[in-house]
Amino acid sequence: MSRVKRRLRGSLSVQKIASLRLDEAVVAVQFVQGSRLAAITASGSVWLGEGSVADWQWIGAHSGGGLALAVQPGGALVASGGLDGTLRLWRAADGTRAATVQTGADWVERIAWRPDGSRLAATAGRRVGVWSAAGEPIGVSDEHASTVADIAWQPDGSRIATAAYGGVAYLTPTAGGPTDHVALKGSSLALGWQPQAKYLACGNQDATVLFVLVETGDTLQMWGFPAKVLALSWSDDGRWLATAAGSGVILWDASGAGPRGRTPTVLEGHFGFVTTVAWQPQGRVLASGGADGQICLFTPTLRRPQASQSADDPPTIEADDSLRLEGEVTALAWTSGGGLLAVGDRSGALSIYRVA
Amino acid sequence: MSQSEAPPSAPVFPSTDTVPVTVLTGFLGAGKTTLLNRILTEQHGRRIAVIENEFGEVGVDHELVIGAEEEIFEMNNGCICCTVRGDLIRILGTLMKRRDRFDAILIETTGLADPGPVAQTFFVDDQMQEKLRLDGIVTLVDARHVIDQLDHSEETAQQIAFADVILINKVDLVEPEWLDAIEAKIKRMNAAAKIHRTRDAAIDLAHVLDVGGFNLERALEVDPAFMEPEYPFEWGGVFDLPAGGAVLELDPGPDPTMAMVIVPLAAEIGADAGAQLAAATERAVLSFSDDERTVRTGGSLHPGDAHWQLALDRTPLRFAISAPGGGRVAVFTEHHPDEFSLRFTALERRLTPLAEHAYKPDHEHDEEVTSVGIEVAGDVDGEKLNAWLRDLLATKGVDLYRMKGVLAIRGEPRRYVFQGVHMLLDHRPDRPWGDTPRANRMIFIGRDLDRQALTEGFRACLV
Repeated sequence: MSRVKRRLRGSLSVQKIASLRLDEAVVAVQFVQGSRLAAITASGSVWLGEGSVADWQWIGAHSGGGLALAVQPGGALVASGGLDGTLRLWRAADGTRAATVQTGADWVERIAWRPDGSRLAATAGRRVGVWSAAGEPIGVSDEHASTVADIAWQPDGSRIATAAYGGVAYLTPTAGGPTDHVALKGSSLALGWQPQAKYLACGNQDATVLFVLVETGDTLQMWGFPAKVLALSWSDDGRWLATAAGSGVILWDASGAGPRGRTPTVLEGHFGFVTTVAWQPQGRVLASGGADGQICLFTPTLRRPQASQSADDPPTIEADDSLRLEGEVTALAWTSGGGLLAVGDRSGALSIYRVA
Repeated sequence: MSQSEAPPSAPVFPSTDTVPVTVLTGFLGAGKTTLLNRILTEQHGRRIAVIENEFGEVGVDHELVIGAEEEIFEMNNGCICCTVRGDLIRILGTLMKRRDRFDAILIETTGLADPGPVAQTFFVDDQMQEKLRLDGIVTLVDARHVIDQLDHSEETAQQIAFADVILINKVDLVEPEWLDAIEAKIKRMNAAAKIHRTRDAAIDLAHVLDVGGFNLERALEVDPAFMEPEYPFEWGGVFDLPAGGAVLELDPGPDPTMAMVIVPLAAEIGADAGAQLAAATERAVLSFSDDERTVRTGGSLHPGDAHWQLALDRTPLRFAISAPGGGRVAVFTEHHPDEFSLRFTALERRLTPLAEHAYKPDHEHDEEVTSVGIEVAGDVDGEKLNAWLRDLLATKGVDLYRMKGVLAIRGEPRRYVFQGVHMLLDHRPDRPWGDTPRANRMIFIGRDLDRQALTEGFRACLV
């Protein structure tokens, strides 16, 4: 256990409390309870553990490779998906298998638990299925126009938003096909419900972000991103949407009248593709990971953006702290309390930091 | 819907070591899987990932085979013909997250796949561009069926047009003369591809892997000179007309009309008629692009720049060549004289040409997909060229499959290389010209290309 304390600007204290290496690149990581983690790697292995290497347990694998992992709210079950087309449920307490579901497709890339933990949705190729926490099928959607890229439950658990070629669709957990479709010329990649559910945000292949005003169905499409928008994350208070595109983390302010007409703020620190962004739960820190092997930590809510030089030149905020990893950052996760940050990279290294 | 601009951010640093991607195309049964298995066997020391779009008759025995289903995404980026393969973006994105780098990636497409979106994926998606490089498109054709497939499927023509390397496979199952015909036809469609004849897809893998088909440096290797120019006429001959002119007689032939140009030449003593004919060719090409002047039997023609159109609807077919003082002329005819028993007589004697040449005609091809090579010495004006290319890609981008070339731009001491797929162009300065004469070499491969318009359009950009 290393205790390197880094201080860049004095506003954050970041301390590495554990570090280990898994068998392959970390595809997804999530905290189960306390400092206990679940992770899936590119080989398909599913891991559970905390602290040092000796505490880690290999609990099973998806042949062909791992694609998705999601911990049930409450932390009793871990769901995993992979290239073998199965959705697997594991007991977080001991790593035993609770259920294995054959989805009928060979690509299970996204898993999302209903916020109350009673059901989970997963992508199965071009379809989305919904299962009970016991793995019993509840419903399956019609085929989308392409393999489904992302899914997200509306915070009240009433429906699921899906992203695929042709835009965003809403599904009700039990019915068949999409119930409502927000057409988009192009391909949607990443979804995020604002916690207050006023907006649904969607990052797209054509380097745009779509804001859907949930109540009216009106849309706002934001252009001018440097590259496809791969990842996004809302702050818990629903004010900030962080989006990752190219080497930029771009922050939109959705407070009051919303993002329309507002100039977003650029968060600077990465010099390679930003692969993942995650807001600290109930907190003010935004973490981003990049192909440059860096984690950048920002506290944009505490710091004033630098004034623009001109109208074309957006306001910027520099990272408060940056951590260098061995490989490209592939996965990020905060504890529900926001005190710990887990970071996985392409080399298979998994590190846990305390952020205060 | 309202729009708002997100700000630009710092450039993404391109990675120096990108993984080469080879795309195998060809109809089912052409031998893609056989070639794939050969590559995997012979390159067993290398870490190769295979993306298979089709499960063929022969299985691929390899640790890393990922099945894919063609998902074509239209991009909403203002480029009307820009489509990419969403399935490849997704699968390659996942592969690129693995700890160990791959040495190579092979993509086997379905027999019916359009290679355009596959190639465009590597230009349009920033993440793909950062980590991968499209090395080449290898197209296999079945020697027994390719001609028939070209008649019936758009896809076969596209796969040939996009290819960097074409393997005419199963050569043991057809006659050698047939192979020559196939090869000639393929060459007319795609003059830039390297063509190999194979049996059981057996080939030195150096011809298939690391071919640098999309590598700008190798755009320098483009050599359109092997493509003999094409002409609007099939034959030309030099005659000395006696004072009083001559009579042109012919019989009806396969066409109801015959176009002709009679270029007057200087009748210098000792002038080489062959050289004179060659020198008159360019002038004849220009005349052939002028409006036609129709002449019926019994009418008269005279040397000059006129583009004569002989109407062959009434027999006997007799035309007067009016040349009161006589003189040397070069006659260029749309069809070969033998097809119409065409003959010149004067003073009861048949005239024999002092020199003659059969030209490669441009109207004989039935292929819609062709290659147009342009080679011109001198400099081009950068601004004019940009405007021309912009207009060309906007209007013909859909039909332009591949293009590559080397340009000499005025004021630029270095060679300028470019290559492209449909409307997407890659270009950059390359090594200096030095003492090498400055010249422009280009090749366009596409559907319904207008050779003359392309050549003239480019020539108009010359300084």
